[in-house]
Amino acid sequence: MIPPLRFNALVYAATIILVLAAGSQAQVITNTSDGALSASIPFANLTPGRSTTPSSTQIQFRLRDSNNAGYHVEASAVFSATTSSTVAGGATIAASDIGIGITSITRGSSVITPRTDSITAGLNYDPGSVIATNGLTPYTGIGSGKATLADIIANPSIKILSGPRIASNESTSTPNNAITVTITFGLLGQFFTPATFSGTLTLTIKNGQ
Amino acid sequence: MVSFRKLLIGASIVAILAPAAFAQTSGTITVSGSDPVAVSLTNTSETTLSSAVALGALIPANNNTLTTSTPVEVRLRSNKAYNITASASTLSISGGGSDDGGNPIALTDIGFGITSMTLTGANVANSGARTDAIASGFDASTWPTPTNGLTPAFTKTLNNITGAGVQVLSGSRISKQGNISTTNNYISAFFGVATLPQFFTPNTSFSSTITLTIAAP
Repeated sequence: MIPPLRFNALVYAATIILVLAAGSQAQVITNTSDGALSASIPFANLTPGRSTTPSSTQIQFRLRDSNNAGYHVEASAVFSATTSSTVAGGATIAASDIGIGITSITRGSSVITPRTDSITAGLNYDPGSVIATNGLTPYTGIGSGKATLADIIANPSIKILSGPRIASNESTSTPNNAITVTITFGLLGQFFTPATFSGTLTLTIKNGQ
Repeated sequence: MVSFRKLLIGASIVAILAPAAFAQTSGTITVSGSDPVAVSLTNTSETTLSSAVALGALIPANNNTLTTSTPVEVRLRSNKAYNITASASTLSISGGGSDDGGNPIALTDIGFGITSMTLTGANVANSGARTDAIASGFDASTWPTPTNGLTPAFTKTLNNITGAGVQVLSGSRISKQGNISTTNNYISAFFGVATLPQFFTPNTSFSSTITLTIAAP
């Protein structure tokens, strides 16, 4: 026969469980509508022209974090291209032709300051403003300051951004407690093998810097 | 007083609700696009080809020397096998005198063809091993020699490319990569014309427009 417990014991037990639950999830990554981040961003016309400026496209997302240890964002990627003609001695678009960089970080009014959010070296550039000398892919890789999607593929779960605690809570119903990050992708239209291509970048926010 | 059973039920509810409140900690961004079939035909400035070839005043002489044009360089790029077609407009003659039983210059008197090609480049596909094919009769690397001061037996003249475009050149993919500003991903075809000055009916000028078209069928 199990002995009965008093009501305040129940409340105490439930409180502990709630605190533990909240403590295990102090980070949130969302789109700019505070919904699940699952974005598709197509590059427009990639017909080769005379321009030495790559086409670029951007995606913004929000980060929330209330963990005292701060946060970091990891990235992994996959890429594939499906050709519709023979390669015939030419080149087909590759992940190394797609530049990727973090071009902006903005803070909501409830974000803790002063703060320093750190972009991993090589990702701190704008792929849309790189000059494509001689009409060829201008991205030289993360080691030389111009990261590509191939760098993310080659380094799964690579840390791309980190920083201190963002706000006192990570609630998505609270306005202005997030930082908004802009990632820019760049690509120069060239005489690549006719093909369709797709690359998926997976971002994960975790505890600690 | 609350029984332990109720406590367990209460705790269980919390345990179930807590995961439901778990925040999203990951997301995906998909980048997509397509590289379309692409071809390009430009002048040496990588802009639209619009070139005037002046043969000058064609004064008959006591020789069998053809008057030839400086060949027009046409730069070609493609990411797929290509062909070039040519089409000439009818010969427009201005200030023509009376024929008086003689002959005016005609498209059949103007030889036309590809005088040479350059097929190499660091970003040219199969550079050094290309097999671009000049259509039969359009190889004008050497012009025929006139005899008796009359129009020689050109293998092709402008008269052969009137009307619908006639294929003059074809080949495999040209460019490995790069765009139209890239200086080493194209091949060049040099187009020329030739004619022998003769006692044709006088005129102040004549002209025909040759339209070149590249396609990747």
